[in-house]
Amino acid sequence: MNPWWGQLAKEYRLGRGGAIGALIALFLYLGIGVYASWRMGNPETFLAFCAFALMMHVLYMAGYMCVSLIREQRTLHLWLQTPLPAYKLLLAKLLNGWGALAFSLFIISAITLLSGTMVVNLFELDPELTWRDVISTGILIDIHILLIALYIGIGLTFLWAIYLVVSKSLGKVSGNVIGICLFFFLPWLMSKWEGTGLFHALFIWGKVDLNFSDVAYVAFRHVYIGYYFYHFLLALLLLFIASWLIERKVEV
Amino acid sequence: MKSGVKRMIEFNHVTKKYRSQAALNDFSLSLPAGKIIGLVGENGSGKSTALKLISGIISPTKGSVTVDGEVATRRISSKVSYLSELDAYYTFYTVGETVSYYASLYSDFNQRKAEEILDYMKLDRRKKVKDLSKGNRGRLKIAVTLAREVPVILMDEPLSGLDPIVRDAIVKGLLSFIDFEKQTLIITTHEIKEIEPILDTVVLIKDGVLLKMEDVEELRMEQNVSIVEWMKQVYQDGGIDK
Repeated sequence: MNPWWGQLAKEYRLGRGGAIGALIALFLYLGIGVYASWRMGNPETFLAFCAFALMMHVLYMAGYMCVSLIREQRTLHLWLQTPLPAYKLLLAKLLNGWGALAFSLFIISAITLLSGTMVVNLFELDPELTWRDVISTGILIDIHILLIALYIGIGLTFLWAIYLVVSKSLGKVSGNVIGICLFFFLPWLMSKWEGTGLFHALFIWGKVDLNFSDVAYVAFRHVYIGYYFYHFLLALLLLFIASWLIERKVEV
Repeated sequence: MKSGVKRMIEFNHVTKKYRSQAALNDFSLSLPAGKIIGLVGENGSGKSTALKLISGIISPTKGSVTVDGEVATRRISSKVSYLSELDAYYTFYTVGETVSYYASLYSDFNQRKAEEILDYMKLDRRKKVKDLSKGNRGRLKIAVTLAREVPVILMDEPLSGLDPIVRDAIVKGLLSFIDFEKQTLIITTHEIKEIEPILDTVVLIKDGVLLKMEDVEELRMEQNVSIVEWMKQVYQDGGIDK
C-alpha cells in the first residue's frame, strides 16, 4: 500500500471514534429539538434547532483537529518517525476531518431541508419561494461552512505547531500563553489589515451577484472572488508554516 | 577505529540542549557499520538523546549527526528504524493491523520477517494493542522495528519491563533477525549483562560526554573484565576518550 493511503487509513481510525461521537451528539441534540418543539407545540422550534446545528458545523473541524492533534501528541515520536513529509501528515488529518464534516453536514442539511419544507412548509409561508432558491441557498451555505470549517482547522493546526515548538523550548505554560495570545491577536491583526485600502485594492475584485429571492437572501447579496483568493492564500501560508515547523522544529 | 571499516554514524562536536540543560556536550563519535553497539551509562547520561539525534526526531543545538553520509533530519527514517523507550502505540489497532500499518508506511518493511518475529514472540495477531500486557507491547515494538530492512536499527531500552525469560529470548532473537552484512544495531539498556554476549562494541557516556568506546572482544580477551566491571573502572578513573 502507498504510505499516503496507509496514513489516511490510520487517521481514519484515529478520528473515527470522535466523528461517531459527534454524530451521536447531533442526534441527541435533534432529539431534544423534537421534544422542545412538541412541548411548545411549535414546529418552527425544531427548524431553529436544525439551523443552529447546521451553523455550528463551522466549528466541526476545530473540534475534530483538537481531538486528533491531542491524541497524536501522545504518540508524537511515532508520527514524526513516518517517512511522509509533514504537509502530507497534516493533510491526512485535515482530509479525514473534512470527510467526516461533509458526512455530518449532509445529514443535518437533509434534516433541515425536510423540516423546512415538510414540517414547517416554508413554501406556504412565502409563496414566492421556489425549490431552486432553497436548494441554491442551502448549497451556498454548505459550501461556506465546509470552507470556513477547513480554514479554522488549518488555523488551529498552525497554532498547535507553534505550541509544540514553544512548549519544548520555553515550557508548556509559555506554549499555552503564546498560543492563546496568537488565537486572539491574529484575528485582530487580520481584521485591521482587511480594513486597509491596500487590502481592498489587492483582494476586493471579481464581484459576483447572488440572484436569490429576498426570502432566500442569507447574509450577503454578492461576493468577491478576490476575497476567496486571499483566504485561500492565507490558508496555504498557514499550512506551509505549520508543516515547516513540524518538519524542522518540532521535537519529542 | 580501524581504517577500512565503513563508518555508518558520525557525531561531529554535537551539543544538544533542552532549554538550558545540556544532554550532550561537544559529543564526537564515529560508529562502524555491521555491528551491534551498546550505548551504556547512568540514567540521564544522554543515551536516549543520542539515539533520538540519530533517528532525526530531534536536532543538535550545535554540531551535526550523519547517517551513512546523510545529515540526520526527520526524513532519515528511510535509513533508520527507531524503537522508542516510550510505551506509546496506536492502541486502536490490533497486532496484525499494526504490522500492516508499518508495512504500508515503509517500502523496506519485510512483511514475511514481521510474521516470523510475531510467531517467535508468540503474539496473537487478532489482539487489540490496548489489551496487550506491557511485555507484549514491548515485543510488538521490537517486531515492527526489526522487520525493516534499513542500514541502522536503534533500540532504546527494548528489554525494559520484560521478564528475564522473555529478555533472554529477545536477545537471542536479535541475532536471528538482524542481517549483519547490511545492518548496524545500536542498543541502550540497563540490562547490560543480558546483552553483553551479543555486543561487538560498547560506548560509555556520562553527563552527555563520551567517556570511552571499546571493542567488547578486547575487553574480554585482553583486559579479562565484563562490561559492568569496565564501566566501574572507567567511572573511577574518570577517563575521557577524545
